[in-house]
Amino acid sequence: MDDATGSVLEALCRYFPSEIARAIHASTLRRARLDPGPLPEDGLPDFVSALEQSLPMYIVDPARRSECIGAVRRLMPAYAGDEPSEPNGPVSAMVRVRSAREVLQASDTARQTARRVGFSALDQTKIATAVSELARNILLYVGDGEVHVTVLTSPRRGIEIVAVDSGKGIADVSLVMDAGYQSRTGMGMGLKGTKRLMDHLEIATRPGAGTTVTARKFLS
Amino acid sequence: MARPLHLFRSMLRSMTVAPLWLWAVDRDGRYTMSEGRLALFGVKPGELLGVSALEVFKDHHPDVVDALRHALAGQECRTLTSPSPGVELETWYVPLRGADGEISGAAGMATDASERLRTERDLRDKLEVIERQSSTIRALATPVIQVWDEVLCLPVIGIVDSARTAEMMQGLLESIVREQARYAIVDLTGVEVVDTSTADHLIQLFRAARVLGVEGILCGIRPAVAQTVVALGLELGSVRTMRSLRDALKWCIRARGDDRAVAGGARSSPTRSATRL
Amino acid sequence: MDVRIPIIDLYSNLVVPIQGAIDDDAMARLQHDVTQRIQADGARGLVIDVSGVEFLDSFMTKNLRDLALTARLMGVSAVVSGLRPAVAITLVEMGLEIPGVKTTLNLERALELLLSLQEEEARALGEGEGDHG
Repeated sequence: MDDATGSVLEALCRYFPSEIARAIHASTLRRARLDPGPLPEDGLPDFVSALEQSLPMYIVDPARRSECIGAVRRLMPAYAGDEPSEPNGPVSAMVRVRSAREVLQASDTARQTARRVGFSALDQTKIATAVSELARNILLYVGDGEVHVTVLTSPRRGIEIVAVDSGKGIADVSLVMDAGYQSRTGMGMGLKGTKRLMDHLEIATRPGAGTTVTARKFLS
Repeated sequence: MARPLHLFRSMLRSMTVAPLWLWAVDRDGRYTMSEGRLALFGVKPGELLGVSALEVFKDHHPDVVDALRHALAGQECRTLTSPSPGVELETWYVPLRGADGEISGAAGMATDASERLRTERDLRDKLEVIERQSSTIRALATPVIQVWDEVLCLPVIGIVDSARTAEMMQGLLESIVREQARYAIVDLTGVEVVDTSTADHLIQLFRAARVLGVEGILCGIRPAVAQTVVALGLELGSVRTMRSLRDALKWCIRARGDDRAVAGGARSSPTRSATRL
Repeated sequence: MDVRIPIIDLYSNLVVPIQGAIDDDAMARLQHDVTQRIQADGARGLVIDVSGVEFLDSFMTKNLRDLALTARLMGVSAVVSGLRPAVAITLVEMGLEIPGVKTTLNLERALELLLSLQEEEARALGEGEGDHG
């Protein structure tokens, strides 16, 4: 399809009366510095970027806003590179962590998922870093484990990271979460530092029964 | 196909209000019908019958000719044209087929879309103004001002909540990178109340700036704020503090070595003495 | 994964541009290569440029710090340059700033800094004063 205008307007019309949808479409074209007239499919990424910037003004509720952007974004042809092949992507992904390369893979998967959810670049960095920390902990302390990355939709859009291992467990969780604790790498605040990057972080552990760290971050 | 057109014709004759023009052309594009509020469109009754639409619009409206050709080739389409200044015409083109299924001509409807388009345009212009104002307001809320070469200032006003702090931090750091600043002055003159989390955020701000190799200076701390910080036992640590923005700026100028008048007292900043590579 | 991180010679300083995420083996090899080059070339400064790095966790930060401190032990001043704002904010939130290692906005500033430190050092040694930065 050469002209994506029709489908874009259709998507916008689900959220706005048709006149406003048309006005937003026209002003977004202007903002994206695209020519007025037919919107080619390869202009869609720029269009979506421009729409992301102006949409907060028209839709206050972040969940609804993400939905609208998502609806327009889904019109984009899937492109190769670091985007997953299906425009929507899996809702949940799992990476087995047994090597340094897989630690990287886990954090990469988390970052891509975070981008899809709509997190800002800064939050993507925080999430990628948090996942890297958690995956690295698994590698350093246990040597084998799993990192699960899931897209959350309630109570708000967000991301959930679950890092699981079946190691010896953490003997004293409160010690590990204490600000004075030094992580095994000797730097930083360990899990306490990771907790600051996310909105929620919980540890479930029992000596001899492994550890599960669950962390969540929501779109603000 | 003739009967519906006949019906339309009768309907139109009785409708005097709607600004519509109903027309039909034969296979060669000659008008076989032209009814409705013709005056609106600058057409006299009967004027067009038998005339080739392709000829009429050839010179000034090639898009109409194009649409007609498409319709005569079997494709529905739509155009938006301006036959005279201030008048916008929206026209639909529909192919007509005879009983044998072959294309026998085309028909269509033109309506005055000037009002609607004007409203759309107004709406769009207003939205753009609002958008621009909104980003100005957002920028005003977290302004970073360049007060001197390589010296940035962030005046903080009012209460700082965590959402704003994140924005402030991003804004300041990005400005630092963009303007290649060496000094960042955070002016707290406009802050009357500070709680633990605000202070915490400000400290994070300075630490992040330091990581970027920038010297951070805090100025304008009100007495009440100073007392709170001390009472809360907060560590401002290595953050340089000054009384006012003026003092902070003077310090930065001197530190950069720009203030040559102060000969003996001027710190020759390492960055200034570097030779150009 | 046989990527070797390049080490560039620039006016008796070594510049190491790190792109993207470096795996542990590459980092270990880098440490080895840098120390070898310091000894062979007699470099006086080291700049680790991380403008191509999208995030740093505690492990990676420790590696960078170790690299910088190793160089320091060999008498070479080390500077980390090009930390992105997002990375800077994240490091600060995790309490991961690298104490004892200077950080600058970009490569140019890092080289300026190294040069001035080296000049100061030369002056101090030349005048017989023991105090230097």
